[in-house]
Amino acid sequence: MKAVCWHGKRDVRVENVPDPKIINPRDAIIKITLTAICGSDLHLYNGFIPTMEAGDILGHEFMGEVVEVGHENGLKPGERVVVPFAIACGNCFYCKSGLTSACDNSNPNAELLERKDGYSGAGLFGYSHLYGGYAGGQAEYVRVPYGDVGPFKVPDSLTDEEVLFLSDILPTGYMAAENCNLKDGDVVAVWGCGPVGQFAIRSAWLLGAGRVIAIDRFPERLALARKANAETIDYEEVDDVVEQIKEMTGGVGPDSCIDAVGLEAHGHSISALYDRTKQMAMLQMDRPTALRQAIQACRKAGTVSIPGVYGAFIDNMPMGVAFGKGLTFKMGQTHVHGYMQPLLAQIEQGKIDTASIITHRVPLAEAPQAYDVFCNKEDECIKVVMRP
Amino acid sequence: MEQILPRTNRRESQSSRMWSGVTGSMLLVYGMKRGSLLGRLVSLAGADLLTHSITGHHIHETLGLTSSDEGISHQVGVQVRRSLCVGVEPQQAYEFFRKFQNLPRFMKHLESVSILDNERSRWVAKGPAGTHVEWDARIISDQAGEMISWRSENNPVVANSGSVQFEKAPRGRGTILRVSLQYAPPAGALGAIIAKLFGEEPELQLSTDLKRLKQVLETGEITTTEGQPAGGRRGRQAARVREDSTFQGS
Repeated sequence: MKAVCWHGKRDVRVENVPDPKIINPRDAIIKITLTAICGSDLHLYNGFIPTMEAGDILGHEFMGEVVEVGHENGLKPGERVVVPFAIACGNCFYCKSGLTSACDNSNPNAELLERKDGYSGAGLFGYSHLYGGYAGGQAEYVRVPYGDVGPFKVPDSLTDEEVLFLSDILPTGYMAAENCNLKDGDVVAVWGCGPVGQFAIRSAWLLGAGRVIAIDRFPERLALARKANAETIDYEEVDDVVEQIKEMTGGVGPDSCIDAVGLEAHGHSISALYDRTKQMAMLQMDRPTALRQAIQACRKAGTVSIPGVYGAFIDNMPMGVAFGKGLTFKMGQTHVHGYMQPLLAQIEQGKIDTASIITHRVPLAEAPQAYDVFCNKEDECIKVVMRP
Repeated sequence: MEQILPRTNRRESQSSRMWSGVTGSMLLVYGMKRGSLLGRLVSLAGADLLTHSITGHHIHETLGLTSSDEGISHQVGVQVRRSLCVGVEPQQAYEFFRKFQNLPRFMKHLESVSILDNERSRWVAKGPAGTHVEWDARIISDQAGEMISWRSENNPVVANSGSVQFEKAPRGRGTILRVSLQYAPPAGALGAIIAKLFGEEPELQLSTDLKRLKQVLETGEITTTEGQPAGGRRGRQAARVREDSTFQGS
């Protein structure tokens, strides 16, 4: 089959690889009908994530048709499913509590991750050997472990484009907004108008926000945020984002701030320059510009919600400010499984328009060019989907 | 930390000690030159004779195993401990572990364990370079749902013992397994080989083994990616293997 394989920094190739097969009794094999490139795939593409090996198959946002199951698990060949990006066993304490991205059992390399970080969560599709080294879904077929837990059946009345994002970014944006402890009428600020930020904005309204402010620098992303009734700030146009937000909110600051940017933040402030220098000298791994601004802007006793991926350590965190303000931090990898049914209902009722964030549709064979365009945000690219 | 036991009151003639010494050195050199596992064991036997001729002690005494032995001294050799919380009741975890034939399923250095009788079992471990090492183990303590401990019997070179406790975890979370393994690799080259049997990094080995046990007990499977597709060189190797098998008509 054809699959998108990682070969180094900024080097992905579409190769012919063997088809996946059933390895464990609870596995299922899915024939993929639509898959996407995620913002976090760019961390792999740009060489920020260790333990990648040449030939690793990428991709953790995918859906398709069941073609084979290893075990009676309620899935039947022919069924149409969307698969969560994190692999969950369904049996451990965390899975049973609905905290599926914290699964104890699904990472075969848990020992490796524990040596690095002191803990391990769930294995992930297509996201380096630290997270299990699972072959991902930017391919024609994929093996899904614990096929009775992950794959989520979707109705034929919705197109692939309408439901694909249940796999990751829609629940991620939604959980980010849910983590804001929103009260009706609250003011929410969202850093990052990529796909996750876009869904966080839309989810914030659904959860009762009264005002949404969105920060980014790309015109097409700011435009899409305005389409969702956010007030936008272009951080390349203003001197001081935090001051601007305070002005907009009468000096109070937002009730909640969402960092949908994560470790590859850009920015031109002194702190951003500091981050880039330190990162180049490998003294610091992550660039937390958005997070610092969120802490500084947030009102006292507010909440900072972090869906943006962080991988390592950060410097110069205004912890004193965070403490003094009494901020609540909520963060983490999305527990996708529990959100799929309620969000599907929202999609069916027309309350969330998922397909509107797609700007590029390409065949899988054009993945290398698509990665480049998405990474450089060329051609007004916001989200790429690929059809095998 | 080695504990040298007091010299026993053995009287041996000067000539018999010299004889031991000479034979011992010859065996030692011969065994080391051979280099295989058998060679290692021969050299061990030689070392034992040599040691005895000089010090009056056998090697197994320095391991803490005497004829009046009650178990491996905890001051000698290697001890690894690990605990892990598993989401099944202590009785269930105990019953699975007590069937020692289940152990190779999650303890990767073991090839097989067969039950000899109510108390004894025969364990076969994978040695380096395709060799096997066997020993018999005897259950010393067996408290249903609470703890099991065992000790090897008939192979002093790979003398080992272990225990597992099944402690009820708080808040209905199942069982905290507490495993402790002891083994006493002899010094030198043979010791390194024996150490490999139990894993190069024994605590890492035990930790990974327990994770597999947790997976088996909680999910019924061992999580793995072995056999999955990949591109690059690995993909080409897989394609070559398939071509070869077709060529051989299989």
